[in-house]
Amino acid sequence: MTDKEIIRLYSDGHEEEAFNGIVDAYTERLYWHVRRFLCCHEDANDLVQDIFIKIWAALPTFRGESQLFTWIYRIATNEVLNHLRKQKFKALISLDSASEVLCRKIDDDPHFNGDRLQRELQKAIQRLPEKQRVVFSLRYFDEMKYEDISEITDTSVGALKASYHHAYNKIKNDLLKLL
Amino acid sequence: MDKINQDILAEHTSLRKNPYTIPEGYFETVRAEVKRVRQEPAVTIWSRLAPYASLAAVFVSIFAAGSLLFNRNEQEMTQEDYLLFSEHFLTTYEMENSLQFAEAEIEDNDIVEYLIYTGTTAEEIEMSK
Repeated sequence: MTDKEIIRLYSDGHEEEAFNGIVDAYTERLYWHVRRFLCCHEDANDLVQDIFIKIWAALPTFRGESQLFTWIYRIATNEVLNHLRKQKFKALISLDSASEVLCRKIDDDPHFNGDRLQRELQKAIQRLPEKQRVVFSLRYFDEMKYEDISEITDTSVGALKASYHHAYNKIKNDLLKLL
Repeated sequence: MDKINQDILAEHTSLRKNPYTIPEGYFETVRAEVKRVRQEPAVTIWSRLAPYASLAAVFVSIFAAGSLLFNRNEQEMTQEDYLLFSEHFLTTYEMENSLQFAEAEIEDNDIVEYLIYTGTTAEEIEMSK
């Protein structure tokens, strides 16, 4: 089902069918979006389910001023960032570092199937500041347009380009040290 | 190629590939689960914050009772003061019990929820160390 069909269903009063359309169309995309941030399958699974519940609750506020997919990604990204903030606090309480916790999750993940360089790339991403992590992930992996990322993150295209540039160079330098 | 000028992220196209895997049949399961969970009643923000509000209310009442009592400590103790004094001790006793209860029940998740609710950032905590 396309975004247009989902919106039409919703505006015709078929809310449940519209929501089911969103679940069918977006589960896979949102899962991978979330997984790249949280690394661990179990955490990503829990959060994806929470995100869909948030989407259902927020559906009446969707006015069609933005694209459906950027609206959905915006909710998902906010939830991911909230989750990461919570993890940061938990790490502080246990006198640990949040990025180190995530790096350990990558090392311990039985569902990680990449080579050494891919593993180090994922770890380097976890060490980036929040905003750089979001823009790098959406741009490098999803090849999303800056204009769409701008709608999702509520940040100007210029600022996003600068963030991406910083993130790209930091990661590049981290990986070059391994060669 | 000069190592500094090497663009490893552009050259190694495998880096863009997804290194994670999922259990077999996962997406079908999660779609069904999401559609099922949606029909369950949601947890409201108030129900999550109610324990903190109760604790805050205990502190406010103690403070109010304490202020009333100790502002009058130079005056002769009347029967009314005695009642207020008893009430203060009762409230203090309740508070101690509440704190014991809180110590036993508050978990890391509760602290995290409270920090998020108050808008505290992890950076602020790190700076205050």
